[in-house]
Amino acid sequence: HTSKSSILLNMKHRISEKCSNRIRNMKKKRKRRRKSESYFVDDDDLLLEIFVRIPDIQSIVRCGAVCKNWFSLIKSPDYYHKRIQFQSLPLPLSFTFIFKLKDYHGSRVVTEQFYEYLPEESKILHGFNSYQQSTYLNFLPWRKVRIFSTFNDLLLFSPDRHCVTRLMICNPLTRQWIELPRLPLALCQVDCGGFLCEPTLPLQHNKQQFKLDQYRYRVMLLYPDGPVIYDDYEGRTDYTALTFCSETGIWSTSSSSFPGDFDTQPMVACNGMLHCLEETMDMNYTVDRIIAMDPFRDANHPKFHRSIDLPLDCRMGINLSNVVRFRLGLVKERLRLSQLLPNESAGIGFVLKVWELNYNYVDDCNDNDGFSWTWTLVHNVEVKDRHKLRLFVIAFHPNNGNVIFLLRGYRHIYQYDIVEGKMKQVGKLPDEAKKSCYADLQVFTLVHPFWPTLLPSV
Amino acid sequence: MSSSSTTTTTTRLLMLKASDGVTFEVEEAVATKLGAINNMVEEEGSEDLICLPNVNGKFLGMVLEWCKKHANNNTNSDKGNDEVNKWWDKEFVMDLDQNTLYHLLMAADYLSGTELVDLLTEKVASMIRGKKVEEIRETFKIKSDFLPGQEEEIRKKNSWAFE
Repeated sequence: HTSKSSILLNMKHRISEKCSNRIRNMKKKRKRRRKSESYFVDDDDLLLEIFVRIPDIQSIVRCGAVCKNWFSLIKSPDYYHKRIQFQSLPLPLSFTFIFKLKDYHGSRVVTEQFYEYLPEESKILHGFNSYQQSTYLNFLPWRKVRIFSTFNDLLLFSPDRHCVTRLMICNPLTRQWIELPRLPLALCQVDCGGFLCEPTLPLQHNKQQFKLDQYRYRVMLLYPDGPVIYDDYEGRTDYTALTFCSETGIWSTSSSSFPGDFDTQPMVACNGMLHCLEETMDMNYTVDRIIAMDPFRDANHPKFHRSIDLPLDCRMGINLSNVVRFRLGLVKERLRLSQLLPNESAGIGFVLKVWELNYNYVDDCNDNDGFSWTWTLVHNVEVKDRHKLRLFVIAFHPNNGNVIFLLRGYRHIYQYDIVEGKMKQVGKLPDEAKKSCYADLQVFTLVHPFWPTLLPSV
Repeated sequence: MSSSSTTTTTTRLLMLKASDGVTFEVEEAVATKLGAINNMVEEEGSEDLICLPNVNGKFLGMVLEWCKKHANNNTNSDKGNDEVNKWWDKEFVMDLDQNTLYHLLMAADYLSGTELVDLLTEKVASMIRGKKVEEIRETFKIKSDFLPGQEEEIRKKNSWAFE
């Protein structure tokens, strides 16, 4: 019950005793502060607080070369956990889309141009402050490249403009690339290509930096072997698979025959297999089924490729099951399929369905080859949208199953939250995009892990 | 008993004493922005003189200046306050030299001024961003203690980050 004015008078005699008590209570947390000649912050907790606030991966890697303590902190699980917490983002941290546009002059492709869309987190990770279009792949010494597919943050491409003889794997974030051994033959028509990596040792995912040589990987190109064969109005193409095996360093070919044609969309690697949509040969570009290829098996093996039927509740028929209505992609490393159709009953808007594929592992002696699957319908929404512009799904959000990316009127990139029904424009392709046909637009998704995947120096 | 028109706004005052003997008289609402002081006040429950033997007067003064600004701005429950605070924080860290920044950060951490620690670590991080290894060492006066070859190995492994 002391009054304010008398604080000092009353307290003076108690000061010294009390102060010492308090200081003891005050700083229990100074656990890891160490004695060091270094002048700057030498408290590990504080240093970690600083490091998590450095958003671009390049600066962080540089910090690791400053001194021993900084190096060990950046490599520590503490840094990893704090960083995740700080960013409050689910893993993987960010992603980048690369769009490929073709510009036709008559029936001849005149130019192929790449454009990229980086969400804010991805820009930060790359250390991009301002962002201009069409510069992402400019570090490559080739003016034109052909991209086949992506796996996590790696890109499979060929610098050859006409017949493919060279293939490269590149990490655009670290700007490194490696060349695979030359192809045994020059391929003048490659319909699709994909690649797939598997860690050779059980590694703690995302907690350490991967190097490509810690993976075993397969690269596969599919090319038509001879002309399309028509019998009884049914088309059939014989394809040859050219597969590269990282363990042997050898390319090998083997023939396989598929009844249809492959969609030009990039193959999607999931569950140790490469997936793509297969079109019927009826000139309507109707999607029939999904082909799953296992590049870790010999292409002559009966289990090399299997077909996965489309979900029963997806709509089939001319225009309805046209290839542009479907999109295959990954959400949290699981395969998803979307179908977006105009809302006929309402007259305006659209109907969007999204399914997820579940692989069931059954015993190999089963009838089904040890291979079975089920589709789960994850989203089924009807949107009464007043805009009449053409709308297509371009990509899935790799971490958030409720979010999908749409292309509107051939140019505008929208992020659509299916559950909340929120549509937001996030980017825009350049004017030239209007000239290109949606079916020719390819979208490649790069998903950046916590640490970028390193490529072995050659 | 029925005293008072005088005790309406009882802003309690605390005395803080820095290592060099400099004392500061601050309102409780201001000082309790610092976690350490807040704990003491809650534990003890009475007014007091608080000694802070690890903080120099100059830096304690700066920390308290920051607390004061934030305590004041937070009392007006205005929406524009966040903006004001941000602007003020920016000014606060703008021209800090490395030495002051270091001592201020140590003081803020010691006093558990979480928000201030956030602000200052953010500032340090911005000073590291985009710098070369040598520049980081120079800015923060850090000596490399790698064994011969170790640094080269890190650089070689991550050559992309060093250009």
